[in-house]
Amino acid sequence: MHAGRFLEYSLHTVQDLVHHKLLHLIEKQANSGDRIDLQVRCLAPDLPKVPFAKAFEEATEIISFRFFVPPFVWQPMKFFGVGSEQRLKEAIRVVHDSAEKMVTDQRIELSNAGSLDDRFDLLSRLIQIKNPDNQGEKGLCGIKMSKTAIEVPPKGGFSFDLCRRNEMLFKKGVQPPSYRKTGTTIVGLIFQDGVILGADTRATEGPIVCDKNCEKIHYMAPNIYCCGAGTAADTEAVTDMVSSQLQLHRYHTGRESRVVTALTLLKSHLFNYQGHVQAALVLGGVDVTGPHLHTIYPHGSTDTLPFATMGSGSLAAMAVFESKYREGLTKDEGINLVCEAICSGIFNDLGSGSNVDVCVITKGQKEYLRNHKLPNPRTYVNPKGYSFSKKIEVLSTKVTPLKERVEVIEGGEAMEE
Amino acid sequence: MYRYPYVTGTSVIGIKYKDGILMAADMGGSYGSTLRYKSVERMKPIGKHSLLGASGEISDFQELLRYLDELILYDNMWDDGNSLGPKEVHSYLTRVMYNRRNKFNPLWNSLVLGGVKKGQKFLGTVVSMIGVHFEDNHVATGFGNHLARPILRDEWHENLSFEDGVKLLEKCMLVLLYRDRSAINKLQIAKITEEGVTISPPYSLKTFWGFSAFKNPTVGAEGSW
Repeated sequence: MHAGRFLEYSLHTVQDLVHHKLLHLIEKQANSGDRIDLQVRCLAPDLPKVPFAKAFEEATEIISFRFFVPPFVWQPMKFFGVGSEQRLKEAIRVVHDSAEKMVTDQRIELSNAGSLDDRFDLLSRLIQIKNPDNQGEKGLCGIKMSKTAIEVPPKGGFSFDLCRRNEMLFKKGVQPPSYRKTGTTIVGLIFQDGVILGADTRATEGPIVCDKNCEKIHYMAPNIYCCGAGTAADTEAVTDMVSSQLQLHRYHTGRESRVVTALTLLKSHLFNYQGHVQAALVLGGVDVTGPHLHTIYPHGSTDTLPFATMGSGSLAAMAVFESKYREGLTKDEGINLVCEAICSGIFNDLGSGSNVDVCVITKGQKEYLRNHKLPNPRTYVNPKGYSFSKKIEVLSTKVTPLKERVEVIEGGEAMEE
Repeated sequence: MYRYPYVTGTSVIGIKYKDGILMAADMGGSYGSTLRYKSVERMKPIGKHSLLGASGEISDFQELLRYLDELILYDNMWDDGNSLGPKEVHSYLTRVMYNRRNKFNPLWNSLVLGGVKKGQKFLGTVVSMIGVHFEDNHVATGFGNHLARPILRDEWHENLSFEDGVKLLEKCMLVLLYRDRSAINKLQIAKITEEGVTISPPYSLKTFWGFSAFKNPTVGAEGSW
């Protein structure tokens, strides 16, 4: 950044102001014996009256007057050109003229000097870029209006202005908003014909369960699915993004996607963001080279495993896998083992709960078993229902079934997946 | 104000079975991240009726043993035919731990205490240096809580036979061996019944590393890095 140049600039400006303006002023006041009123916006009584500045201030004052009177007062005034509105018109005209003059001056300077590279303000830059034609004038005038366009050293790169404010707020005890995490148990295992993925369905926001039945097994390709743990937004966004990239790749190559492709795309993205994208994923699928199961950590490292667990309930689920997994499981045994592992997470980990989702991927087909197991049913429902207190009377009832308003057209073009 | 633990032991698991209590612990004493001592006995008999297993700072465990030794000695000196049972020892331990923590000088341990007296089985734990305590049919300390408790919740039942109990404990210890970095493959199983305490000699578990996916891990991920 231009910190060095900025410091220099500030130093010069302060020196300027002190030597050329403040000292003279104090000398003058000392000589004349007047008292200095520090409350007044401008100390020097005899500043040259710059017409541009005066007109600008007047215009601002009159416009703020508009806010104090109702519209039917100042709008007719504006229409007829009477009273304060007339002065406003005049002031605006003066401001516009001064701006145009400044722009034309700069242009002349450009044609004289050949380049305005050593002038740092926005106006000089824009004049150099734009073609010298009158259409640019209005735009440039508009820019000139904003005071920040005048002689400020250039700011490149990232603006850290809000960081100090955030720090200050944090010191005062204001907590930044928390992310919605999925606090999860996700598992995957390889069985004899393919891959089985499993996940629980609870999404937590700190200590609160914000979604009792969310979907954590995300679609990547017809033969590849991905479970996600960590920050919900991150897992959704990253899997959606890679899923679209895979689709484009399929159009480009004309072949079925491979699991390593998804793996490489995900890990490069996550590594790029150095762990700030907090997505911990279990990626599984079956492609031409066979069944594959990988885990991907938020910092971008990956593992290739026969069975894997991730999330806060991973230890509970891993305990089940480590004691019961063996090679060559059949499909039913595999599904049972995955359910057991997820249930272990659901019942032994506070961040996981509700139901079990299972996805079985084999060569050529997949089975997405949403809510395959519901080990936490709502056992008690009050049979009386909810009764309103006697003070509330039903005056009239009108039931409009919405289905009648919706026309279902059969046929038409089906959307691609 | 809190000191740091120097030589630590990892998890201890205890379960009730048909005739009494079974407890398992490995014999490792870690000094930070190095495995310095490999023959640390982390389970000791207390009096006639109890068995104490500890994880955490080893020196604090030895200090506790001194306190308990004194306690049992004074109890024996009464020579009145009564002896301190596991419930009493558990209560004493809880008081000691809690009072030490109130003085900001904790004993950095998690304890498992099991025993049988007059046919009544007791299995309790002092969960941490803070002094929380509870009793249950199966308890564990440290990583055992995360890795062994889920298995025990599923597979423990009343009146396990000795062989089944040992198998269950070994299953849990195997998972701990695979997944706890401070565990070693040298463990002891201790049994306490009405007759007394038996602590087995140290032995190892059989591990299995022969998954085909482990043999050539990158064969499934060619083209990635």
